[in-house]
Amino acid sequence: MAPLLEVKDLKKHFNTPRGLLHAVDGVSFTVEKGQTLGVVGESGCGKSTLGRTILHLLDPTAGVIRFEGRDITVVKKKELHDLRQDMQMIFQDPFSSINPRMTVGQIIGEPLNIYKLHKDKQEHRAHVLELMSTVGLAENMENKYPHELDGGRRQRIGIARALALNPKFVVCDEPVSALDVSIQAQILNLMKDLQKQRELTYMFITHDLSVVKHISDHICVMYLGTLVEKTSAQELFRNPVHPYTQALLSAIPQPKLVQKERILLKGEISSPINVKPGCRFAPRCPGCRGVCRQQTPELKETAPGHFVACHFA
Amino acid sequence: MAEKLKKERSNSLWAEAWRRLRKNRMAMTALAVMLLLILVALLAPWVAPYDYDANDLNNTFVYPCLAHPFGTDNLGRDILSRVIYGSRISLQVGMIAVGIAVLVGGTLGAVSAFYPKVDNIIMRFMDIFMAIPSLLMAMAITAALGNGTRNLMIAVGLSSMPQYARIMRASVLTVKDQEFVEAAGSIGASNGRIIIRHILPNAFAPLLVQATLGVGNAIMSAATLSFLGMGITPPTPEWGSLLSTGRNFVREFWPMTIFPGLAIMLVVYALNILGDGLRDALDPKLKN
Repeated sequence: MAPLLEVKDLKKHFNTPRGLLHAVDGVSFTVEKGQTLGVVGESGCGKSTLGRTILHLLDPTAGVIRFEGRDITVVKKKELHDLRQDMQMIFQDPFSSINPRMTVGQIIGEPLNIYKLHKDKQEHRAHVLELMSTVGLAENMENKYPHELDGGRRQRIGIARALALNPKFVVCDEPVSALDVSIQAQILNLMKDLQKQRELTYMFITHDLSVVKHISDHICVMYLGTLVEKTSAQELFRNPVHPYTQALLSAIPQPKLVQKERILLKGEISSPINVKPGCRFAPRCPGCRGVCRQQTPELKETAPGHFVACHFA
Repeated sequence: MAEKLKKERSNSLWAEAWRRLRKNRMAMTALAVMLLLILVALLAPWVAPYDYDANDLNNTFVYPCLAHPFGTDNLGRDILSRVIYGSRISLQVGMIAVGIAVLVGGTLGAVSAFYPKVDNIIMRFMDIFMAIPSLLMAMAITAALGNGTRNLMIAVGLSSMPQYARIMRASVLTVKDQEFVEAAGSIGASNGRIIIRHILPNAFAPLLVQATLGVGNAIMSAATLSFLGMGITPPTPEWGSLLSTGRNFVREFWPMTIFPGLAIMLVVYALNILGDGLRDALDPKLKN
């Protein structure tokens, strides 16, 4: 069976006054139905842009996106409108991602209105209430305004809105990073439950490795618009190969008395504008050698199902 | 019990703003003054003690007394009645002029924020407008269109329009970049829907504040133009033209200039306080 989503050599470049910004530069992966793909990387590495490009909130510069086997890289307005029902997004900041002048019921009901799912008002309201109970919002919240609610509840509104059209694929753009740790767990568990109930497929974008470990089946590690490592979640945590992944994993705080020595990366993430050839991680890599600055490493399979983009993997 | 749950307090942002405004005593006083003035203007024929153009040549230049609280003018007309009738025109001119400015300026500002292609054209055009002093601009427009209430409104409205365009553009640009606008796109909302339901309601507050402050300015500009003889011409009572007539007698007989002047001051002051109060009330950062 074909994977639900297949992305091949996807590129998204932006024209900026200082030059061409390579936000996403040749990313390929697949996501199977019902699974979760975690995408990790530091801020500015293009992970949000990747999610938005797949959903056509941004137009891809090059590459191929296939959804259920169908090429959706270039779609007409009408097709896109239909496609939106199947692909939805949960946003990062629950404070800015919902309209402060609409009530909870209006926000959750809006997608139903747009797709004219119900002619009958009673039916519409019943559907909204059902969605609210699915995400754990009490019925009396229906007429509340977002500013009266806390971050966790707001994020539940965002989830309910994304689920309203019964999508197959949901891009979750750091859905818990703006929340308190205690609430993060609630929201993550809610998302896991929903995935089981509705056979959802997630693309889970985050910079938080403990979160991604908790929820993902497969993980892609991104650095400056490219994938540096791609494998199953277990394998990645057990056996990280790419130096960047190793450094990333060593940064996870450990609840132990004797701390492992951390790999501290020097320098800043280099500019994604007018990138030079060579490994993008080379300027910060502890094991950088001559070849790293000359040739861009390809993503190659080092072990079954384990892909790494490093000359020395 | 179930009834009670349903009636649970739920406040839109506008309701919250109103609640905050109510706590501001100065602003509420200003609002009361404005409402009173509007009421008086609406009920002028019943409130005014005399007709505004009833001459009484036996009683010219009467100082304030019981029969004429504000005195009478050079033709024996009751100044209080003239100020009351004058408020009709002044308030009307102020509000409609600002209405024109908000409508035209707001639309242009919103359009230029939405469509980067025309942004430069519209905004540079606005810059040209702004480079000309607004009073000169208004004078030029009245000179071109001729005197009269309607032309005065157009002149005052157009001359203050660029600032509304700027404010609306800035406001829309801020709202446009927020995530909920992108979210609306991701649930398949059309551009029209996004603009009307998501962007405009959130971009409107600064414009409202500016408009409140602007009515005062518009009344002043209208009065200035009438004072200069370019707006409303004497037989019609308008505050500016009342001042203009009174100017000839300012050394010998003060009531003709003081009372219309006080009326203008009262309105402008009230509107400024109200505008300031609104700005505070609508600022989401002040949450008390």
